[in-house]
Amino acid sequence: MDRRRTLGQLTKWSTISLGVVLFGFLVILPLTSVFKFSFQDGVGPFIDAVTSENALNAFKNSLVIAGITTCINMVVGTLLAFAITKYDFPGRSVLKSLIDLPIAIPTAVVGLSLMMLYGPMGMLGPILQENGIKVVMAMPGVLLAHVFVTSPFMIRSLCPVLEKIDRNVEEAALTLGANKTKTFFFVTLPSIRSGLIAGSALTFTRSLGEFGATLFIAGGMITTGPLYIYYLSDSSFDFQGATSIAVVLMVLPFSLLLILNAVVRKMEVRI
Amino acid sequence: MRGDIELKGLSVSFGKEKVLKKLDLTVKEGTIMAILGPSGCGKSTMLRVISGLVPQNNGVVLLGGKSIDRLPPHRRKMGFVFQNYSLFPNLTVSRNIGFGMRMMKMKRRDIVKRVDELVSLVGLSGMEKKRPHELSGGQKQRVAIARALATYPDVLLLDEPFGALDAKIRKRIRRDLRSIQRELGTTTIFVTHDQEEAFEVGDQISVMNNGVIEQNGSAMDLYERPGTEFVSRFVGNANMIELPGEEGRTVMIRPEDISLRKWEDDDWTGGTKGKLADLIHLGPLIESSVLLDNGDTLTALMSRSDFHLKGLKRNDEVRVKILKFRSFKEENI
Repeated sequence: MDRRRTLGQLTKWSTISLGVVLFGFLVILPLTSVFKFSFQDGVGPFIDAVTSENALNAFKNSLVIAGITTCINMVVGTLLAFAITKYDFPGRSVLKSLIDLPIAIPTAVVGLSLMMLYGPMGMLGPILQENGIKVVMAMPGVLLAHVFVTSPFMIRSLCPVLEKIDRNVEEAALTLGANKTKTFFFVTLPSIRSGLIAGSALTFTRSLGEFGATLFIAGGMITTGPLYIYYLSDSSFDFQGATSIAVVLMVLPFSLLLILNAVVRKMEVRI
Repeated sequence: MRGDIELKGLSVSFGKEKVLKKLDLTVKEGTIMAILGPSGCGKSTMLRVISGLVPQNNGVVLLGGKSIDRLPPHRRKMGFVFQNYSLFPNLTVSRNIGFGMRMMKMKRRDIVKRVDELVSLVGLSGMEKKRPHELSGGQKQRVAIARALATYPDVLLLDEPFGALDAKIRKRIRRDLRSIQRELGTTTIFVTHDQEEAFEVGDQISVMNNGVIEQNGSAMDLYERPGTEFVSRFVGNANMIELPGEEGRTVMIRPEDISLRKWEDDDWTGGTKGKLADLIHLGPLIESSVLLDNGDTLTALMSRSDFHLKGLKRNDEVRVKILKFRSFKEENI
């Protein structure tokens, strides 16, 4: 009996320590080397690197793009999630499986396909160009790429909470004198709030980190955080600068996710 | 009267399935109508049509003689209580109850006062700050009833409101509902598949089957003078047999209207011969299965003392007499 218990303890602790060592080696170790490199000449160069005009511009671009992407996805994602969960229509299951497509395809393909549509050789590019609308190598193209890449996160966070909504609760609101709009804002929206926040957090962080599709579509005209890291290390060989930017781009989204996770958890307890 | 509710020729179909078939019903102001019927008979759909949640294909809903068909649900002033409570999960008990009044833009002071009244009326004092997930099933349903009554609805509609509660709590809360309704005098339609519940709660009972009201009356009417075979079976127990010697005439006999004696007893003559095949003990009553010579089986109900007085035992040969029966002519064609 005692031997079996010791054996059980042994299995437990060896599993845990193996897991921790592997995770440390695969994930934590690379990240610490970035930290180490960025601060190797002290805090001064780090501060200089992250407050340079180019760096601030890149951060600003990233935050603005992530913000707008999140707003667009809130509307588009909510609409699509509603369509999939509330209504039955031909092609519903096909649409449902296509939702995950952006996760499966390489970001380079996303960038390329947008180029092929909105670029000078694309189907829509020349028409838009004639009307003075520039998509590729401009903000609209970058936003299209980011919305494309992040769309599954919003929809996937919303579908489970939408499916859980009790239709009778919405009907109860109707019989209590709330019209359809009021019912949406007072009953439906509060019940999907946690999904909306979780989806927004994922969308925002994913957008902050987007690299592949942005590289294609921005064409050097718009510099985001990740692109700036790439330019610093690839063309300028400024690794101290690159790692400093990297530290900011790691700490910012990670703390954001932690905070929002805590908020959502608190909200779910309340509900 | 002002608060009478009338359904005339109400028909609803979902695709090919006809759920309500030209249904007629009148509920007098201030009374409780219990709608009794098996699941799938259309009784919930009927409530949803009255509240405006489901549009009818044909027919009219009248409130005090005026059609309300063109009003959307949020303008109908119908309090609706759902089987699964359907409280707003993110709101406290007070805010759940006050929801309708906030939608009506009532003054804050009046809302607070009314919520206080209702909380004590349904017996939930001290629970105002709790959220639905902290309440028991019975408490949730009390909140739902208070919430539905808060805006002084013209009609209170309850859809199997106690179906999810256990027997003891169900009994108490339905007594409470009865007394609350008496106090407020709100016209009420109460849907259930439980005969005991319908009899206890309803002033009038309508037995519903297959999209129509089969019979409407008091508990006494329905039990003693059922109009159709369905009503006689659904309200209480019923034997349906062909009377001996009268071929083609099916009659309904209540188990308590069958008298049994030992076959050997000589102070009794007539009747039919049968065998006491099985006994079920129901406390003060004993239910016996009697196998008649012609192969029919009858269920008879007698008091325990009567059973012993007559010295009956299982497998005895018995003389069966029918004290009362009822025939349904329209169903004999």
